Amino acid sequence: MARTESDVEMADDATGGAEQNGSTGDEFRKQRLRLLPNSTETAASFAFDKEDHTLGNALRYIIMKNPDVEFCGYSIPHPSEAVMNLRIQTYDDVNVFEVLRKGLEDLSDLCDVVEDKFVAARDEYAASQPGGEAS
Amino acid sequence: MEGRFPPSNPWAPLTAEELEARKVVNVNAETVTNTAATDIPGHWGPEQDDSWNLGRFRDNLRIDFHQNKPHDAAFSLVGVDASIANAFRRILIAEIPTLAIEEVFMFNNTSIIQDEVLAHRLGLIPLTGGEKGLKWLRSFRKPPPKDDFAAQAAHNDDGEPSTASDFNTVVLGLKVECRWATEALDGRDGKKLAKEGETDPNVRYVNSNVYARDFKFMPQGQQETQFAGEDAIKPVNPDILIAKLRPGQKIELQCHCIKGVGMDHAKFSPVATASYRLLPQINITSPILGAEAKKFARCFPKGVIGLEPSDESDPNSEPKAVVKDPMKDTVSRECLRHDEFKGKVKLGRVRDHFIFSVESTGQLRSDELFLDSVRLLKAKAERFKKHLSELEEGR
Amino acid sequence: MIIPIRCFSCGKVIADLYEKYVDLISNPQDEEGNPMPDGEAMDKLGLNRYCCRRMMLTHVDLIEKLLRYNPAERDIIKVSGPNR
Repeated sequence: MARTESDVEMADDATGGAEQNGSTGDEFRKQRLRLLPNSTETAASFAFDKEDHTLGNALRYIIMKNPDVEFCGYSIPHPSEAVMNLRIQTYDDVNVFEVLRKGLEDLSDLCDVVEDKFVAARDEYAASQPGGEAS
Repeated sequence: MEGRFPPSNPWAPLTAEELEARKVVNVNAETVTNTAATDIPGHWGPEQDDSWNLGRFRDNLRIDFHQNKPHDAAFSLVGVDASIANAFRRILIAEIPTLAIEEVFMFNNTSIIQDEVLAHRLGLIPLTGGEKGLKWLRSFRKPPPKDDFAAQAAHNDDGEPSTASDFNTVVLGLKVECRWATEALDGRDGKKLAKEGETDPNVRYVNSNVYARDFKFMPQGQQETQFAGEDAIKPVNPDILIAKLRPGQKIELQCHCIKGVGMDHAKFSPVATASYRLLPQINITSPILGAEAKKFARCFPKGVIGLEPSDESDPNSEPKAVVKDPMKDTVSRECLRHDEFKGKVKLGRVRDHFIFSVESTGQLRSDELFLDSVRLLKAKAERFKKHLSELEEGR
Repeated sequence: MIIPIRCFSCGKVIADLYEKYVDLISNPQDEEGNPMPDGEAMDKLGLNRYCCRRMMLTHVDLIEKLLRYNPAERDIIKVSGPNR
């Protein structure tokens, strides 16, 4: 049941099919993160291709949770362009790249915790229902 | 100002009451205050520790199930920020891949439902099949429409479009012809009955209604084993009425089903609705007694407010309004319109208590869907971690 | 014209419920031979949200009228007269 990657990615890195499929398999490796001009070590803007509020707001929140961050905000400059911009400014000499990496790691850890707790809660509920495994 | 609670001491951590107070969105008679989450480091002074802490998050996170049916799950997710809960909700609606009819090849359609209308109806039919087989299926990368230049430009850096194959395309066939019921085949002469005044189409004709159960799964290649027996691809609801026919009319077509996501077309969305609401909070600040208590209870949906004797030792004492089940409340604010309750009650919603409701269309189980959304958000984070490393190397 | 497959607003499948709904509100459902009121019928079918309820409540099944324009049945209709 453990599925670690989205279906779209599986489509490409899985063994069977991908080659016959005509897929070059570079969708997964395709660089979707860009650094916007005029960035410094402590203040930078990143452009996330094909991302929206789903990742934007979640990432903004988790980066703002970092005490080294002075400012973090995201925007979607144009609704018909699938690009999400994320701005990070840090205190002192903290590197923005490290802040972004920590944000992504924290988000990933958060998902693990939610998954574990959800499975536990579901199993507990199923056990508490008359007839055991409720379906 | 109401809703604000200047910390008693900006050079100390928030007290327990202050921590509780910042968790509540105040719902007042005409305004809603304290709407923004303020659990950000530095917001409450240098001593209040609001930085990210996985252990603390794990301790505070709570998930309680209220209902867990395959088509409908309801649970509380407590202890996360709105941005995270909303990410899960958005992924549920728009980013979990599901199988749906995408291409329809009409061989014959003499029904009164036009080809394009029929094709649209077919697309909306939710399909299901063996869980393992559905996971085995790959996404199909569709080439953009020839007249959509913006989509083509975006597609250019997307890699080659897929070609139909057994691991990305499922074929369904539909062949129905309506005819008069005959003595020889059906034991009744529909034509004769019609002349005698029979009006029921089910008696007069055969196959006058086309249902989703008339679809025939045509396994290709490996699908023979992946979707064997019970696991065959079939509509979730076999009774869906697709079209109505009259004698001589015929529908013959083949459908290609592919895996897609809800952001491309709503038919790929695995959920009918996926939503959350915040837990309502009713705070009775000074006792409401007697007839007023009864009136107070009527301001809320049934079961929210209960009446209890105001003196615990004396069961015949004046009734007192108590909050029994705030989960059932709709926060209609009716109680704030009556002068007699002024200053006696405060309404609010708990900022970090999300009551989720996930209603699957039937291809995947509702609880599995939520887990998929959590895994997808994690996959997104992991993917951009890789991209970030590449970006730093290339600098 | 024909009952939509899904509710326009929320996406719940409703096309499989329409025939059951019509049966409930037009054929006897209790001892006295009364059909069920529409509200109760929709509750019974699990149409809880008002978006799905309006789909049932306000649908006009025009396809029944159009189906009568069928050359194969012309003689029957002439003989038996309008059958609705």
